[in-house]
Amino acid sequence: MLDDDREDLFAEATEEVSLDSPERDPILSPEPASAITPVTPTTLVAPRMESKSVTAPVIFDRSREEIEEEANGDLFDIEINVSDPEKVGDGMNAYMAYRVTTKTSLSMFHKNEFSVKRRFSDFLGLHSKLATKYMHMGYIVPPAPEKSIVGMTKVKVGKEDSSSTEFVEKRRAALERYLQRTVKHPTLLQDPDLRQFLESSELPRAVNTQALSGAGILRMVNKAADAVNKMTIKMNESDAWFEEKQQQFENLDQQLRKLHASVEALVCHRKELSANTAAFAKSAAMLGNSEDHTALSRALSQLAEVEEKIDQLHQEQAFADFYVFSEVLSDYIRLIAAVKGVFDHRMKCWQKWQDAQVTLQKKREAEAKLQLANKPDKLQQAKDEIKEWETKVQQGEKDFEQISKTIRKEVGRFEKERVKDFKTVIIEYLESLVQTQQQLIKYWEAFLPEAKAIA
Amino acid sequence: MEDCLAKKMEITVSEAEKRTGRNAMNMQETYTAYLIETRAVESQSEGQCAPVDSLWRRYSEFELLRNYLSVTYPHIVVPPLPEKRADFVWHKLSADNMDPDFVERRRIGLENFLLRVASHPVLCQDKIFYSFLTQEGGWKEMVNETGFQLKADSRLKALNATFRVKNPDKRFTELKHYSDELQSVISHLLRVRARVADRLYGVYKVHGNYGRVFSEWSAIEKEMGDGLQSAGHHMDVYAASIDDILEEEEHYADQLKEYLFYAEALRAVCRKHELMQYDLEMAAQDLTSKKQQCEELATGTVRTFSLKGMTSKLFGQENPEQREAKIKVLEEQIQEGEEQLKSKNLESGDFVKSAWADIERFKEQKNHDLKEALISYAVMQISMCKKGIQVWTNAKECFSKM
Repeated sequence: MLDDDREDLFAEATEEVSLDSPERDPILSPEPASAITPVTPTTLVAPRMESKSVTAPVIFDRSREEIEEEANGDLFDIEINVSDPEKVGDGMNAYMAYRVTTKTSLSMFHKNEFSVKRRFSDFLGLHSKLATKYMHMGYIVPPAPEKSIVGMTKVKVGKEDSSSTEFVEKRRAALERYLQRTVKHPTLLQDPDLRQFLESSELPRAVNTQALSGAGILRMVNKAADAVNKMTIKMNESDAWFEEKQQQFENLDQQLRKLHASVEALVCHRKELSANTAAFAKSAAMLGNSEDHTALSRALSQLAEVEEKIDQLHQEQAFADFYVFSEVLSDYIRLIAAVKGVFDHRMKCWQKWQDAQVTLQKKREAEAKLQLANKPDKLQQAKDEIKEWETKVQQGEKDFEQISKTIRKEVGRFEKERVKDFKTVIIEYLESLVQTQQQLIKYWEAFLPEAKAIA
Repeated sequence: MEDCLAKKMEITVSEAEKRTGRNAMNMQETYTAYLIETRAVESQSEGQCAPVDSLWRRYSEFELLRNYLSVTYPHIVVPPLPEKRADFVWHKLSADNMDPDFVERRRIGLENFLLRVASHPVLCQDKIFYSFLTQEGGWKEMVNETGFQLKADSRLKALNATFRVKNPDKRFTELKHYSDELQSVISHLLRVRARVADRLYGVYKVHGNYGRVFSEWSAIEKEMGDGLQSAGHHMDVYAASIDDILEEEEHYADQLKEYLFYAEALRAVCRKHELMQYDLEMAAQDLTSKKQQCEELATGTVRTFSLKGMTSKLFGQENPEQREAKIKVLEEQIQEGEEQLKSKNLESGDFVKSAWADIERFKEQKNHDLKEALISYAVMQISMCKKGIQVWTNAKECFSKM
């Protein structure tokens, strides 16, 4: 018959929360959300997901416009910093705690500046909450940094740093970028879970990890993925826009991956160049030592020093390549995966709508049969079912239109952000390259008089 | 210096050509021939250029010339030839002797060799050298007729001398250490430099990848399309620039190699000194022992143990006439020996003097050359950086405009 409602988690979510009812009171409360946030009825939700900890998402059109105005105008003022990684505990149970500092003038927050301590799993927990609440409605929720970093280069960036210090720094920077991207999203910014994450001094761990444990989420996500894959969705795409966009994102994904691979190769080469430059410097110094003519000897030692400085520069440049460029590329590769996910949700939504239509048709046929068979009580039931499914079909259409509308808006916003981000990153990267060259010139120009001084 | 051939004659190795022929064992071989062009420099000609003479020589003939010069002028630090086989290569450079880039660099090296010889106050006056430049046919025979190969010291003899010499001139010992050190340091430097060149090449070429990706990416972008396209173009330009840069750098590597080979020439002079010194010491020793023998025979006393003394003790002494005869022979030999020793001393003294003069000349030349090389290298690096800045700034502008 129908697909099993209990299996389809997303169906539940869309059913329970009516999207466009203006009568609905906003769930936004002026006080910070308590540890146990308002519930949705548990009966229809699969036992795996304890909805007690999931707040209903906040959608409501009027304030959304206001929010977006705030976002685009000067009123949008929120800055997040992730700093001071600190090791807590010992041995296998040890973890890193990061300080999350928020500076803002937005009225929804209690103070203008505040900070809390969070650990990596807290970030993951936040993301999974947001993803569960918003992605199926078409919102592009920025992905959290990965547990094991994709495409991690074997090359160590920075001679002094041990690989663990690098790793922590990499993660800290990634967490910061993640939060900044998340708060930039006007809808997500309104979410009470996000505010709780930023403001609450104590974040309830039990709630986070059990209910939305990594394993739990993974299972849920995999289930959804399987479901989508199993259906051979041949969607009659009435809107060419979506097909175009999907293709675009596919292409963009490819290009970014290629670029990312190039940057990684570059980091590798630069590191090796740096090591060999250091060896060259030592060799030049030895040559200086074996010459007895003082000016020549001094010039050669100077050459050795210049080469050493160049080695240092190569390392710094490799560092810049990596942090400025490569990491942002990885972020976007994962963001695009999130975008693709949102498109998939839309397909699922369409499918649901279609299925409802099919079911309605079947119900109508059944009713017609019963009319002829003249069984009054069964007839009434059939008529009731038809009404029920008519509503469902209507709802399905509405949902589909809504998600399509949301995605359009989201993609528009995403594109704007993306272009801005890339522009900034590439310009920053190019500037670092220019600076390196300028520094090199300074070194060589300082060397020239020494060379000229050789009698 | 005013008599230098280099001042009177323009010398260039202007072309290289692949040839096939038959070698000594009548087997077909391919080799490269180099065109040497010479032209007399008219000091105050009114725009009239003397005609250009030219002839072809191959590398083995250059080698023959150099061997001849080394043997004939052992007190001179003879300029080295460019390397016989490509060494210190990095992945882009070919190790093949027939590779056009290698041939080109060798052509430059050979020209440099000829110019160095022509600017040397002593070597430039050599007739064989002059014929090498001007006489096409029969040059090889002419060289062989000088019989210089016979004058060449055997390697073994030289090695023997090195180990046994007692009182070499301290300056030569120091020079030997210097050239040994120079050889090892420069070899190491060249090896490392090859690796640096390799990595630098890699870094630049990856930017070529950037260029490709940016171009492809620009096709799917609306707003960023133009910016990406021109940025891609700049990346390509940057990636391509490394070929010229490394070609120029290779030139500096070649200069370093020349000094590596010069170290060998220095060693050769030291070896010659050791050989002469050893010879001298042996002659002196021989003379001393003869004198001693003479004295023993004359006085009849055996001062030190000698086989002669023993045998005479065992088999009886000679009669007075025999003794007289022996003494006479010895006295003649001693006279000869003393004269020889005198001339050897003189020879050795001359050698040390003239060798040291040439070594001083060489040192000055080296300091001058290295100064030039270091300055040019720094200037090249600066210009390379400036080009880089241009590329990155242009690319940045493309993106800023978006």
